[in-house]
Amino acid sequence: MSATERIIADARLQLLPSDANRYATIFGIVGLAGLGYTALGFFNEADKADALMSYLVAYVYGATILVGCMFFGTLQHLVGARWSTTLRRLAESVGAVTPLLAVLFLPLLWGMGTIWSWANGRPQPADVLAKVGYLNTQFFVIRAVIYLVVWAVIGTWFYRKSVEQDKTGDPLLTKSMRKASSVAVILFGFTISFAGFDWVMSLDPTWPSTMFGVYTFAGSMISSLSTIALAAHLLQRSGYLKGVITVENYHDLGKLMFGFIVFWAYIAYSQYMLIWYANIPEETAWYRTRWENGWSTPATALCILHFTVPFFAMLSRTAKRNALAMMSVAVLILVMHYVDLFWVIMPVRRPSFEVTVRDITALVGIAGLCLAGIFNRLGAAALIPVKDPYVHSSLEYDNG
Amino acid sequence: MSAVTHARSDAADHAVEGRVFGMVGEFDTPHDILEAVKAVRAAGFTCIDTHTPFPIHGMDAAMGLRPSILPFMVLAGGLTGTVSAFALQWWMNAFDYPFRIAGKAYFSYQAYVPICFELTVLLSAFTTVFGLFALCRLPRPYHALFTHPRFARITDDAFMISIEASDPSWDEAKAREVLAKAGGKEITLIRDLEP
Repeated sequence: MSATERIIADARLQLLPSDANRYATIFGIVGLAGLGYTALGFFNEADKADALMSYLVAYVYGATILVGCMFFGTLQHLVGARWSTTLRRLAESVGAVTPLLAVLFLPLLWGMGTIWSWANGRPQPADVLAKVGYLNTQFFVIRAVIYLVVWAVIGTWFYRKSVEQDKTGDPLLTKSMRKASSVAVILFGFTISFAGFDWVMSLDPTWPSTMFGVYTFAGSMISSLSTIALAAHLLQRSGYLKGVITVENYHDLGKLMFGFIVFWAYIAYSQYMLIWYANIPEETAWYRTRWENGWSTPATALCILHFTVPFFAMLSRTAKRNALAMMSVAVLILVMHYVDLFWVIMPVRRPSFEVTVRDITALVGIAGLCLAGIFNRLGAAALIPVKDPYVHSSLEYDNG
Repeated sequence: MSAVTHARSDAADHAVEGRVFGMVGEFDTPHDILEAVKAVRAAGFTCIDTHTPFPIHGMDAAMGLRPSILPFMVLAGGLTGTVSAFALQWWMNAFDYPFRIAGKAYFSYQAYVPICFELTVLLSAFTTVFGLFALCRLPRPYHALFTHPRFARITDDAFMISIEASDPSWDEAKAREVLAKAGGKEITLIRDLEP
């Protein structure tokens, strides 16, 4: 028995079914309560628009994280990564919850005319009418169905194949997942970009930004990397996966987090700078509404807490290899990703910056239901792909 | 022709007489040299170095190397770049010669960011390269180890450990014995050509 085989044999690789069920139930109930409170607003004419907007922010928050984790899992197959094998099941388990997104999309579909001004059925300005070939309700629904089906299929397929390998140990499964990943990654690239255009950017139907899709991807990526880091650390702190996820694995995950912190800032600034420089009224209006009437507070917070602080916090090798530092940055990023989406989406509805109880309950609702799904998936299989051909390479991995 | 021959034999004579630089041993594989360097350190030698064709995982730890100060030099270099780029633009556009561009304010920090970014990257890269040169004391056209006829192979297929005579616990016989015991081959005493 080799050293890595002994570590795997000794570690707890399976969530206790009682634990998994308990957490899934608790988060499920909390989630339903949160959504229930938010939904009360849906059926009250005075609150309907505001409640749906709170729900949209929370939905996009959940969707970007789930889909980002799904992408992380497929990416490891595409590049034949060995360092990350022990982290991959966590990403796959989160990614396997993507079918839930289809169900959670229903309120948005129902409230479509209230959320997106171009879909409200009233006469539209000429520059919105010019886009009617793309921004019409039928095509919008078709596209949403495509995104949701693609994510659900990719998420469940990779999870299922990976779990199948736990039983059979068949290395051909790795090969078939690698083949499928090339298609999955391309589909992910298109769907995440266009979901960003459709669900978020089209809230201001006259405002164009060609890099908005990349902005959505950047936020999705950094928040899902933070989710994986946080999940791995929390599981290890609860006594699972002892010695299976090593400091070398965390170090590499930290490098990716650091890279995507910079990437997010780079994209966010590039989008801003081009518009600021060109100074065209229909473009700058978007930033103006997001700077006035108190909205400069979340905007400034984004500069400092979504970039500057995490950048310096994750700069050194020591920080990337330190559990507490990485968990703190991960939590900060997960909070700031919500602030980012709130700042991008909410000014469409609220002229001045304010946070309501329903914003929180919608977030609790979406997060609760997603976590219930995640615990359900985590409990249904081992926490690492135990018979993946690369699992030992991942344990032996050394940054040198 | 004769002058060259003469010079070469002079050098060879000098090499024989030059002061002792240290002892070199060769190893076959990355794994062997990794284990050997641990044995050499365990024997009490501290002034040691390894020479390999490529970086070997775990070698820094096996050699007991302290973390390099280079990252901190690069951080300082990078921050110098950021600050100087910002100061440069502010001084030129907002202070010394205020100039209205595209109806923007004189002090338009939004436009400064790309230059700050570029100069940060530039000075970080310069500090990395030239800092490395300085820390390694490069360029170094001569080093005592270059007199070893087999030394050029460390860029090809040889793995070597050198123990330097400046080591506090230096002992010629002990160095030879420790390298041999660790599996070293072609153990050679190196003399310094320079006075």
